[in-house]
Amino acid sequence: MFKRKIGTLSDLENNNQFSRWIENHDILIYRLNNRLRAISNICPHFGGPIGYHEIKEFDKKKVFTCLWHNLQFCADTGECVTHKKLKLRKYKVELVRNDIFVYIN
Amino acid sequence: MQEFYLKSASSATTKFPKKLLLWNYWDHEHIVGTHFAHYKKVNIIYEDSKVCFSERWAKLPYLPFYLKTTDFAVLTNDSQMDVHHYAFLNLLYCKQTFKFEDLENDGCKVTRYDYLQVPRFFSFLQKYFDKIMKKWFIKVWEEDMPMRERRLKVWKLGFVDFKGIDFINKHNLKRKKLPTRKYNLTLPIPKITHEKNNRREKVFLRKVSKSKNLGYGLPDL
Repeated sequence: MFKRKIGTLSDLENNNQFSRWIENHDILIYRLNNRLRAISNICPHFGGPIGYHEIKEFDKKKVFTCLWHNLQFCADTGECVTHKKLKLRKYKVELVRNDIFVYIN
Repeated sequence: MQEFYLKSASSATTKFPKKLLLWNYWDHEHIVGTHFAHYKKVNIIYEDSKVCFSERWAKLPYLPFYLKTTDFAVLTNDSQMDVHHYAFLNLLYCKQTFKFEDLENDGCKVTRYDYLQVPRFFSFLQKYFDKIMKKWFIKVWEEDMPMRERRLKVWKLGFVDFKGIDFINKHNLKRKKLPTRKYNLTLPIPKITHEKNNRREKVFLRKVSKSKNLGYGLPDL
């Protein structure tokens, strides 16, 4: 595992989330319940972008909705609420002053 | 009454292989996702590797309402797709032919021919029809392009449908150098996002009608 800078807090200012490719990992950074989170932005269904739309609430759960085919993923756990067998990888994320780092393999 | 057709032709070239373009055009499910601004519902009545019989609820340019169409798509061969659209109790008929031509370096040219059947006295609408169809082609093309680009990118990284990418799923796995992976396609595309019901038809509903459209991500650092 190694640590890579993925962005800064200012990248979160407008929408509370952003995604970026780092070393062939497409990672979605967002704030949920005042905590910084990082999950894979690649939908395991066909590879669509999870973070194209902002977080929305469906059935009292905060979810991301993949742009391509509407698969929804719980923003808290990364689990797919549309198809239980699919799940998004979580990344360890760290904030150092204003810089956001993620740990990737 | 004598048959008369309003006609239009639009074309564009891509750097993507033909099979990837066919994946995109035969993915009837993505129209309520990627094209959520124009479609709110798709009902696939029957589909196999060559034909698809469906109903779609679409908002066309300049029309203030959703138009329900019955659509019959046929993959005539690996370079042509014909789609027959019927609307307003079958009073409106439109045929579209998509031709896919291989280009050098695994590129592809797509040409769409549109034919709308009307009584001859509507022939004065020809230039408006041509304008609407060309606008429609560009709009949908621009929405599909990032999808194709991303699909090819993840494919080259080893993406497997319904699984994802191995080195992302397994935290301790380092990415191996993959040999050049030729894009592959098997039709029909498996479906999992339709509404759960007891009918044989597969109904797909738009989940997002309004979005900030945050895009495909920030540029690399």
